[in-house]
Amino acid sequence: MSGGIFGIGISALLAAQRQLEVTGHNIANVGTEGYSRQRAELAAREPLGPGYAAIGRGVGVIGVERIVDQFVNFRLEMRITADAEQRTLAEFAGQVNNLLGDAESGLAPALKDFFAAVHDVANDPTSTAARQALITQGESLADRFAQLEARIQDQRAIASGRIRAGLAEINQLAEGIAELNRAIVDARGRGGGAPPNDLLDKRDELVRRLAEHLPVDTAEQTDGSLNVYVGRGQALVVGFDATTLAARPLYGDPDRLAIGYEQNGRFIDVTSLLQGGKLGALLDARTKLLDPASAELGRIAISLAETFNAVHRANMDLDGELGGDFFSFAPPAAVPGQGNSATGSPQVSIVDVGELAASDYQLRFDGTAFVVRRLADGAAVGSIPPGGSAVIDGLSIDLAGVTGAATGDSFLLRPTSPATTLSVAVQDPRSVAAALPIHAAPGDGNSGAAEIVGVSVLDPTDPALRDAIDIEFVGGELVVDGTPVPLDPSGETVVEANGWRVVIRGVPEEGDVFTVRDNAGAAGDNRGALALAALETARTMGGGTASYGDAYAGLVARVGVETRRAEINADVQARMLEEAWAQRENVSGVNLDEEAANLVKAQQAYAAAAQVIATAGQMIDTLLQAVRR
Amino acid sequence: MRISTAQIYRNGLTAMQSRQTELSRTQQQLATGKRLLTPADDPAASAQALKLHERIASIEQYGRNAEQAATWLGQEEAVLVSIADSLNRVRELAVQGANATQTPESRQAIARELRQISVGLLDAANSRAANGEYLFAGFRSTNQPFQPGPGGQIGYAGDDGQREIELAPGRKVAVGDSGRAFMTIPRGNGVFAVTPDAANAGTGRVADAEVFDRSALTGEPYTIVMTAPDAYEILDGDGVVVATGAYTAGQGIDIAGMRVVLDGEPAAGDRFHIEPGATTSIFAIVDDLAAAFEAPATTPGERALLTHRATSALLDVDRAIGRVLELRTDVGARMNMIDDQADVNADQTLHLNGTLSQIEDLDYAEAISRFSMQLAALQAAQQTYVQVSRLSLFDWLK
Repeated sequence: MSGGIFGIGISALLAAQRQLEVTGHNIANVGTEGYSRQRAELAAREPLGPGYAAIGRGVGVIGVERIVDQFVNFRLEMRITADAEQRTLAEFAGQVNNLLGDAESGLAPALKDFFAAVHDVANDPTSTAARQALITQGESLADRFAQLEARIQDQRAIASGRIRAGLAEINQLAEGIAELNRAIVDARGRGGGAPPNDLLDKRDELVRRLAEHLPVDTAEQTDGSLNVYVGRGQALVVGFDATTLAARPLYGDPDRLAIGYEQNGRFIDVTSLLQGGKLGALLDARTKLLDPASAELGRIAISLAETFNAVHRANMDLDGELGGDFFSFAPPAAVPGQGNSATGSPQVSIVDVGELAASDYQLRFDGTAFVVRRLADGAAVGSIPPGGSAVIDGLSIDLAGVTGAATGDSFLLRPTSPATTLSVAVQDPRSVAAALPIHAAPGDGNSGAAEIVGVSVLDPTDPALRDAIDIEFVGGELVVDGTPVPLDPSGETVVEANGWRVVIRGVPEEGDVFTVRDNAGAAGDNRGALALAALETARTMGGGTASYGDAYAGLVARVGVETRRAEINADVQARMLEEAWAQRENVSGVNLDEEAANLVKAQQAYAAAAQVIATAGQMIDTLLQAVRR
Repeated sequence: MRISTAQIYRNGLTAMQSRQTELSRTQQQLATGKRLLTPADDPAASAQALKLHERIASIEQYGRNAEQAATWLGQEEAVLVSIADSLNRVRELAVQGANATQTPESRQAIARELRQISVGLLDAANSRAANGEYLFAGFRSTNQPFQPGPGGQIGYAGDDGQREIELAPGRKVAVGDSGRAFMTIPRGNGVFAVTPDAANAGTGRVADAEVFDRSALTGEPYTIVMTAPDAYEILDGDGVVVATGAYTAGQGIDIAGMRVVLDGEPAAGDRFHIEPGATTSIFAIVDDLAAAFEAPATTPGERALLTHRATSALLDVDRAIGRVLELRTDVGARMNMIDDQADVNADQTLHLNGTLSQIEDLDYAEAISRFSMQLAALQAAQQTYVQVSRLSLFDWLK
């Protein structure tokens, strides 16, 4: 009988003790990342005795429960993934945004200074100082392109560095989860199916950290182990085994990475399946932010160089020679893919700089033809049969040199990559071509009212360009080199011959002549420099829609919009993450005040239980005294 | 809703951090005076600001161009003034020297002055700009444009290129003028000139020369030859007689739309050359006049020639002065154009700067009040954090 009371008292004492322990454990782990509060589950012991007078046998601790809501945790993981993705994107967008938009270090001031130097040459074409200044400003401009590209390249290197570090962490986490799976399965076996709460917390925490890197799907198995899938169902952890992800450089570029894993000695590329999370954002930062910005910079650099060179070549320098190229840059690069069976390389050249798109291209052999894909928007823009050639987006691609292509072979074309290779080809200030090679003038004896209003060079390679030739007005027509040109009713007649164009306004008198002569020695001629200066505002890019400055402003605005969007998304995701955390804390977090109250409660239960035992003792004492008497 | 202790701290921290971020942004705005710190703050406005900066810089560049053009034109104008002054002096001397009261000695003195003026004119026409370029050489501005040729005649080695400087997009002003302007001064009446032959013995002189029928002009040279004191014949360029007639002083002789009036008493064999489209240079005018005054004027023929040369020089000088005046007017108009453009540019700069300021500059009043508000919010966040975190049931458990 007294055994019953003792038993009840002791059970209560033990239960209170256990409660105190659990509360203490909660308090101890108030600062532990990922800890879920626990609760001692109590249940009244089954009563003894006949049914009509069943007396309870005290209390038993049936288990220690970890208070979690799997759905809340799952949502939290999702939010962590989305938040990490947007935060990383915003960070990179912000970097590109700052480096392009900076009022001092952006491209705009360098462009301005360069064209100011062109104007200065136009103002004072005989000045060697002004010419030297133009060369120097040209070098500064080239340097600025190179610096901007180098800073974008820095960001690429940072991104790929972080991808590598991220993969190392992912592998570590996957490994950790696999190990915890084993520990949890073991612990459950030992504990007769009782959940090892703290190990589960630890595993949840690892999954959460994994979710920062990439979106995860989890499936708990009946034995208590957790399978983890990433991307589109790629198993990362199955039971006690973890897959190791690895990064491989593509096209020989250490900063262009493919992510995958080894299976039976083959590298399975899963890059395209990995979207979201920090890893997805790092991959996106390259393809959606850095590469387009760099390609656009390259496009501006090429357009500037090509259009400036074209005008410069049609001009004449101080020594009376036709101008050469003012800028030089490396030709478009074609990089073979890893493991190509094809030999040789495509010949790529720029045929129409105005049509260039700011993008890299991929050529991939599908068994019958090379499919050309524009990487900026992923569009298939054409296909070229082996050995054939095509002109796509202002690029001439010739595959005559490529033989033995096998399905899957690829080449990466980087037509707009030469921002870093731009340099000034002109060294001698006298070689800056600021004059036109020909001079047209009305003859001395002209009596008509016609005048020359425009002279330009159409084809500087025409061998007869600088031949002395007269345009005569005979029989109501202008005759050049035996070819009659009727007067244009608009009043301005265009005469073209020998690679030049002369515009004559007004009606000449019969017998009037207009002489076209070699302009060698005309040091003071600035018409060529004016033509160069006019390029600053000429719409030479994007099929005649944008000047260099416009194109750059467009780039800055685009990156600005991207950044703004990324920042807003990051804000939104941060708030949603906050909310998901609050919900998780709401369910699983430790509240010290609550624990204090639990502590007091358990303490009092403990004191009361002790009192029960004391009372039972007294009962026995009383009985013993009665017996002794 | 349950709130975990960690959550209490996290909330307090997040609140403080976001207040701090806002505050730091406002602080940065206040420090730079710019509303837009990065293009992402307002991508559209930033692109616009970039364009505006570009345009303002362009206008500054155009301003520099205009200064250069104005300097050049100013130099040109100064030279043209000095040339016009010299030519006016030549005109005075021509009148003075033609005066019958002059002695051979005084004419020699005038001739000497004319020779000096001629040298001065050559120097003036060969003037250089501050950068060493010749002002009146067209595009060949590094070569001296006016040089004496083998016969002592001043030739022009430049071309008729005219440098243009851009004042605004599509608006160019010509600086520099071709030196050909000094070389192509029409002689006589502007269509043709009649010159008595230097060997004439009579006193026949050209009283008038005009075009009476423009459509009959042939552009060919002719010579009137006195076959007798009262008869003439007209030879064409090939020496073929095309007309003959009787000479009456003061009566016009018509040749191919041109009418020449001779008077005085020409001697048989005297010749008068008709040169259509003849031009001369300012140097030749002065040198010819000097030569005329240097030549002896004792015989009637010589005297008639002197008179003729002095009067025709007067005509030529007037035309030369007219030509120089035209150039000056033109230069003045171009300088006005530069001034006008400068005004337009100044207006535009003001306007663009205003727009730019609206786009990217900070409204200080608004920013400062925002700053104080954010400061107060941060302080509130800090205070509540401290107070909330101080609350614990454990404090009351003894």
